[in-house]
Amino acid sequence: MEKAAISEIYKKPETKAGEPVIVVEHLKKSFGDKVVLKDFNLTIEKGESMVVMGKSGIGKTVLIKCIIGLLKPDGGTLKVFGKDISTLNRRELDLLRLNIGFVFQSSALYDSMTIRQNLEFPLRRQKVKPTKAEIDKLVRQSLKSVGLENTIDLMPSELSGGMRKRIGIARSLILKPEIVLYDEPTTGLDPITSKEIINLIMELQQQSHTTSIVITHDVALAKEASNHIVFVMDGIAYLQGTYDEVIKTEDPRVKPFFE
Amino acid sequence: MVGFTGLILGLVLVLQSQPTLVEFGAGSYLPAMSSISIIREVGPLVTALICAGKIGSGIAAEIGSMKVTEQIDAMEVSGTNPFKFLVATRIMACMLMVPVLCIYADLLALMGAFLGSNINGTVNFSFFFNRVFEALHFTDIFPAFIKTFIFGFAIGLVGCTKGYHSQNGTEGVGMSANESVVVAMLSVIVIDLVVTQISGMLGYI
Repeated sequence: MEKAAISEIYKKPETKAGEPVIVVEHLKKSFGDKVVLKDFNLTIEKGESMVVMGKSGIGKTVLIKCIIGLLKPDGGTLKVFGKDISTLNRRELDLLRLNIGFVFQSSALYDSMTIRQNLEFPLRRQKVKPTKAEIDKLVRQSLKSVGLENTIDLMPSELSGGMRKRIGIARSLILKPEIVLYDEPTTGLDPITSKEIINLIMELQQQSHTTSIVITHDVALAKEASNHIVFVMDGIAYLQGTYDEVIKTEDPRVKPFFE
Repeated sequence: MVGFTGLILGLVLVLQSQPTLVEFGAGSYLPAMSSISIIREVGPLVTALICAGKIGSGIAAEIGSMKVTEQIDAMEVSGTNPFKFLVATRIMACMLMVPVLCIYADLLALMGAFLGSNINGTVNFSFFFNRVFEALHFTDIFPAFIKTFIFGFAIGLVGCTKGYHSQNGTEGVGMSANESVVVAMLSVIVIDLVVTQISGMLGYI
């Protein structure tokens, strides 16, 4: 019922399984003299779960921030649902973003709002707002999906790191996006909480069949959550393949990640 | 804080100027002098400087913290324009509330002036305030009131801009709050000068 209500409010892009939803061609991005992405190419198909790996500071987060339009590329093209991000105006970009969930490394919960208000925020900021009852139902359902229903009236400062990550995931998924971008969802968590987050991501992917890009250093997460792995190095997509293919590589620059 | 500062300033203004005015036989001008000084200059300027310190730093620190903890990015990806949600609302709030605080400070400063007049003499309440309002004209009140809107706009704009461009973690937030106070106070003083000059050119002085 919630799916139906949401689909009436937000027009979803029409894509079929196997069609490319994100196409990155010759992407370039620099910060001053530092070249982060110099000729990055990547295609992600609908329903695919891609894990992006690589050393810290190599440009993984920059890549997904370019995809969602938080950073402007210096060159190349970046198409999401067939639309070139660089040609969209503010309103078109905002509409496109309704179909993309972004899970921040720091969770990025609004610390002056309760958990309920954090989850309501993406729903209340739209032109056509759901009713109060619909909002309440969606918030409770989202919290239930991450197993934190009892935190609804707490402040983010009252939660642990793992709980904040879960709420961040719930907030990103409340608009039922077609694409979800996860920025190091397990970094800084203990192994048990990491495992819980991995299971949660897997469950949510199975339930909603979203396309996802997961940035991580966590080999366990890469193994569980990916059907495709990309290794970023020297500003390019250095190595691509399935988990089984990538772990067999003899490349001395990639192999240490899996040892 | 604005009210207390206004009260003390009104009191001190009268205590400092009363001996000189009495010496020149102009003691009866004390209410008129205090009202014009307070309404035209002291009230708006002191209110704006206090707000620049208190509100400007608060806005810069809050928005700066949101910036460095990616909360502003989270708003962007939710399809919300953070400029409209965070900046426009705060600037409007400053433009509305600085004038209100200024009126409050003016009233308490006039009360302070009345109390000051009664320390070294006895002045009737109705006599004092009749003289205060007799001395005030539209040309005294209007530029001062307009000035407070501009002060509010400047304080809000500087606080939001400094906060929005915070970088380098918590250290950057502290620097933004600091810069916000300095720039907002300087802006208030420069705006005061410019508005006074323009008022003069338009015949409001």
